[in-house]
Amino acid sequence: MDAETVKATVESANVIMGWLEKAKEYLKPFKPEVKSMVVNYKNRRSEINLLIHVPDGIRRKAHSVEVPAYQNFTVQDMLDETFARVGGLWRYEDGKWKLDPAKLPKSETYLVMLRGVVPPETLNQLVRVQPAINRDQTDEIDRYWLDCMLRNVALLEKIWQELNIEEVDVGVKVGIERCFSTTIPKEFKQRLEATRRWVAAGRGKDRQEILLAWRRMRTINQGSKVSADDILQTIYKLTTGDAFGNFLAVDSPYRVGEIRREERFSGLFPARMAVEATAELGLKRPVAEGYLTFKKKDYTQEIKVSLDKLQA
Amino acid sequence: MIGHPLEVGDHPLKPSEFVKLHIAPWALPNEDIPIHIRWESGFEFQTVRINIPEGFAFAEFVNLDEVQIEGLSATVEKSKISRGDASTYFGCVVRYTRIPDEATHEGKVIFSFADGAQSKFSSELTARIFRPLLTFVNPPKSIELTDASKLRTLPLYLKYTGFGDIQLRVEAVIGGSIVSEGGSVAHEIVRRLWLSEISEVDQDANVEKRKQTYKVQPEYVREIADEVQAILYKGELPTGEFDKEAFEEIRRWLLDQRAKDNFMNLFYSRIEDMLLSLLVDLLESHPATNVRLVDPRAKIFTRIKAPITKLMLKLKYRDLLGNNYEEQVPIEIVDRRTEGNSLLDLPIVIEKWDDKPLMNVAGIYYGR
Repeated sequence: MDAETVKATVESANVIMGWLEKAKEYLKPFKPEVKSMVVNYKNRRSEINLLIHVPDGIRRKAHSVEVPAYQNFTVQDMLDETFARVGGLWRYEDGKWKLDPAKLPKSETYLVMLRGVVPPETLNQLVRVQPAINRDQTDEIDRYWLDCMLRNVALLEKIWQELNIEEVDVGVKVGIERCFSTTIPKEFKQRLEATRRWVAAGRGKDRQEILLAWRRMRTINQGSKVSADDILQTIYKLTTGDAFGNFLAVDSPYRVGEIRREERFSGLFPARMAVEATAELGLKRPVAEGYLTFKKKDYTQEIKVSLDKLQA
Repeated sequence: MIGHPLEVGDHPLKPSEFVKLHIAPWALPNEDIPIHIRWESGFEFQTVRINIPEGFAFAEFVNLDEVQIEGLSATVEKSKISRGDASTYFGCVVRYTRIPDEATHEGKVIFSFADGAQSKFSSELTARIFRPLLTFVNPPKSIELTDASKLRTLPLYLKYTGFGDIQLRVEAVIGGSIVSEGGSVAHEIVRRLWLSEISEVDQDANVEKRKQTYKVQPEYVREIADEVQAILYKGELPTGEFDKEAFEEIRRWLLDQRAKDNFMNLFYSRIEDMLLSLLVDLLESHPATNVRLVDPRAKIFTRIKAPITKLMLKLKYRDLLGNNYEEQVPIEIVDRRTEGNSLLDLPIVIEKWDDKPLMNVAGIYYGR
């Protein structure tokens, strides 16, 4: 059998460092040191802290420092040794970030804070995320396993003394359709039955039956205290992030992030809720595992109570 | 583990305390199964050999510069792990690439840590594969059509015993051709628009009022309306219930409504009823906890050409990952009708479900 050697890709750091390297190059006279980097997985923002050295001699002699703006790169702020904010000395002009060293206060080192946006493909090269595609169920709950890991610890560590990737999102689509479909109240069921009869009649050619079914459906709908609209509104309220979040739990180190109805859905209510389960990964914690638990029995009970209230 | 650097006084740590392995607790066939391999720094070894059983494949390695793969075995050199000697972690992703016959399948993934020829530690993880499993219970062997027979539906009794949510489509095949059909929501709406119109019972409907009170997703309503209009253009009205003459009549009438710019009004006037019936569909669509019917209104619709016809009834289902499964049963159609009616129009109705999905697979199969 042929042995096969698989080389892992090492592009990740290259891509993410493109703009950082450029910035470092222009700051070379000041011996830049990369101190830390934080990437927010969710909004793709990255924050890099660079330490630069500006000895007295250089401060007096150096001309204006210019760093060309690169992609989304910006100089957010700068701190001197006393933590005074001197970021205002940087100015953006003709597509370049400019600094006049002569104007700097007397300080040997400065912390330059760079901000940028990381392309989505770079994030995928940094972190591997995966939720279980299928739930495991008990009578009480549905649960999904969550998994994420840093793809290449070494390359990241070579460059940054400290690296954190915040809000690594292991998104889960939590199915809720069944909770609704099993909880339709009696009064509404009659309306559904009448509709069902009309639908069935519609399949045949018996006009007399169509007429009867239509009348029956109309009578029930007119006599009904609850409109379909009331029911829909109730369903909408139960599928807001706030309401739905009460029925979710995640294992540490994960936290529940944003909760939304699935963007596109057909029919009367969303079949699934999109839930973000987020974790922070870093050189000290390169992996995270755990469960997202949906308390479906409690949620179904909540639906029942809310729909019953409509009829009260 | 004599002389190991992690020995503390008289109480040496066991390898299981400083090597931590984790595998995702369940997976569908072909689903990625992530595995974390972590150890305390100071644990000395040169290589980790990973053996997977038949039917499994390595899908991915994480935090490694290089790995040697030879069939069902992979060798990881510590020096090729990111950070070399300072490393404390790598990841491995495996997959079961077959569809098991049974609802459950297990495979042992074995990890052997070695320092040269000396074995340092070995451990195994169980990869647990679960699949959905749907079967017929006492399917009919034959269906007899007679002049007097009142056969209205083809009743089925199905049993769900596996794991995972599925979409189910019931299909009938005669001589290689599919003879079952199901209507789309848009088709159903066209038909209902027409039927309520011919019944002339809705003259008093307050169109404006309904338009105001209904707050369903406007995008969805628009999509459905577009779909309905497209059907009208193409003249693709639902067949089956209507003969040719009625078919043309419907089309003329609906296109006339369109010409009068009355279509959207008409559409909105009926939308509540239509969506109510979608909810009916939804209820019908979930006959069992894990099953969603692609078309709750499937039926067999064909012309029977011989006194005895062999029909193959198929359960075609798909799990959330897109794996396809099929179960089939032959049914003989015996046509004894003499009145020259060769049409077979038979809704497929799943009358009974035995719903026994695998529950709590994490609790039962995991953590032992």
